[in-house]
Amino acid sequence: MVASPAEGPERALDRLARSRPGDADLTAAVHRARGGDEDAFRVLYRAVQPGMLRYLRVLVGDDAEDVASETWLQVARDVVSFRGDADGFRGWVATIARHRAMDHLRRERRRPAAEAQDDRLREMPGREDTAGAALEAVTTEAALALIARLPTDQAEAVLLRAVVGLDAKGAARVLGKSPGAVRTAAYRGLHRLAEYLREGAATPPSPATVTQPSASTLKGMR
Amino acid sequence: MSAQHPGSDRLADLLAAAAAPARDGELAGEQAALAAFRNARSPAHQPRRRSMIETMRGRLLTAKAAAIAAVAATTVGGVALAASGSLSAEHSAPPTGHPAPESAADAPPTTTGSADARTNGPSDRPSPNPSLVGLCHAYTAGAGSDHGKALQSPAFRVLIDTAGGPDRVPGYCAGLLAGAPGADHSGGNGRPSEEPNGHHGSAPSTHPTGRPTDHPSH
Repeated sequence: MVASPAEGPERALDRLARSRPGDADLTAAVHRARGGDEDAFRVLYRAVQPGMLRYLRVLVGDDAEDVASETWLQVARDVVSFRGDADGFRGWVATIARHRAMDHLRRERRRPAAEAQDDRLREMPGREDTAGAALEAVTTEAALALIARLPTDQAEAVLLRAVVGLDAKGAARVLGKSPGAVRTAAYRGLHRLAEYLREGAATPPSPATVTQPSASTLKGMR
Repeated sequence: MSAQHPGSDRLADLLAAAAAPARDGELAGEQAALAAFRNARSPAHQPRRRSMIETMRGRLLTAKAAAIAAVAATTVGGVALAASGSLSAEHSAPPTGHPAPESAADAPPTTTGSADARTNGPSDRPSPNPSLVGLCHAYTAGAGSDHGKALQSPAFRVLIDTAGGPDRVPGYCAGLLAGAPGADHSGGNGRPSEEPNGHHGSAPSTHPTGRPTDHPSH
C-alpha cells in the first residue's frame, strides 16, 4: 500500500508545478506595476496573496492578515525597484512576508512562548480531525492545518514549494538555505504528510503529537 | 492521476487543496494594497501633509533669508545690515536674482517623495533643511561683502549653530549648496527601521529584499 518513498511525494510536487498557470502574464504584470500600473499591481496581488497568506497562516496563525498587510505596504512601496520575473517576484514577496512574520514572532516573544504557540495552533480549525477530514474532501483549511503539524523547516519548505509556487532554488533563497537543504526538508515533509494521511485512516493524532513539532517555531525559522 | 499509488494521490490532493484558488476573504486586503500602491506612486499625498509645518516654517525663514539676501546684495562694503534692526527699508526690494531660496522651500515634498506611510515616523531630520539652504544662499549672496558682520544677524544664528561656529559657516554652506536643493539626500529615507528587511541571513543580491528604495520615484 505504501507508495515507493522515492517517487510519491516528488511526483505530487511535479504534478502541482505543471498545473501552475500564466507566468508570462505575471512577469508582464511585474513590469507594468513597476511603471506604476495599478491594474497590473492588482493582478500581482490576486496571484500572490492567497499563497502568501496561507504561508503566513502557518507561521503566525491568526495574525496572518496583519502581517500580509504589512508585507503589501512594503511591496507597494518597493516594487518600483524590483528587478526580476514572476518567479523572482513570488520569491521576493515571500521573503518580505517571512521577515515581517519573524518580526511579528519576535514581538510575540514578550508573551510566554507556550501561550503563543497554543494560540497559533488553536486558530487552526479542527486540527484533531485534520487527517480524517483530509481523507474525505480535502479542504484548504484542513490541508494547511495538516501541513502546520510538520516541523517548521519542513512546513516552510512544503509551503514555499507547493503553495507559494517556488522551485527549490527560489525557496532556498527565501529561507537562506541551500537548495539541497530545502529539497531534503520538502521531501521529509511530504513523507511525513503521507504518514499523517495514513495515520488518519487508523487513529486520529493525539494532541501531544500536534503540539510537539511546533514548539520550536521561532528557532526553526532562523 | 492513476490509482497506482493511492497514498501519493492523496498527498497530491492534499497539496492541491493547500494551493487551491483564492477563497472568500483571502483577497480582502486588495483595496488596502492598491491604496498603498497609489500612495507610494504619488509623492504628493502623505509626505506633504506630514511636513506641512516644516514646509511653512521653511517658507517663513526663507522669506526672511530672501530679504536678507536682497539687503546683502545691495549693501555696499558690508554695512552691518541686520544690526540696524531695520530691514523694512529694503523689504520690498525684489531679491536680486535669487530664486533659489523659494524653490528650496518647495523641496521637501520631493526629497521625501518615495517615503512610505509606514516608515515616515520619526525621521524629521531635515535632509537639507530648506531654511538652512536659504540662509546659505543669503550668506553667499553677500560674497565680497563682510560675512563676519552679516553673521551677527539673529537670523543667521541657526545657521551658525548648525555649522558649529561662525568660522565654519563658509565651509558648511559650500557643502550644503553643492549637495543642494532638491533631489539630493534622499538616502535619508533609508532609515533604521528598514534594516531588518535587508539583513536577514543570506538574502542574496538578486533578491532585493525589502531594500529601501534608493531613488525617489519619478
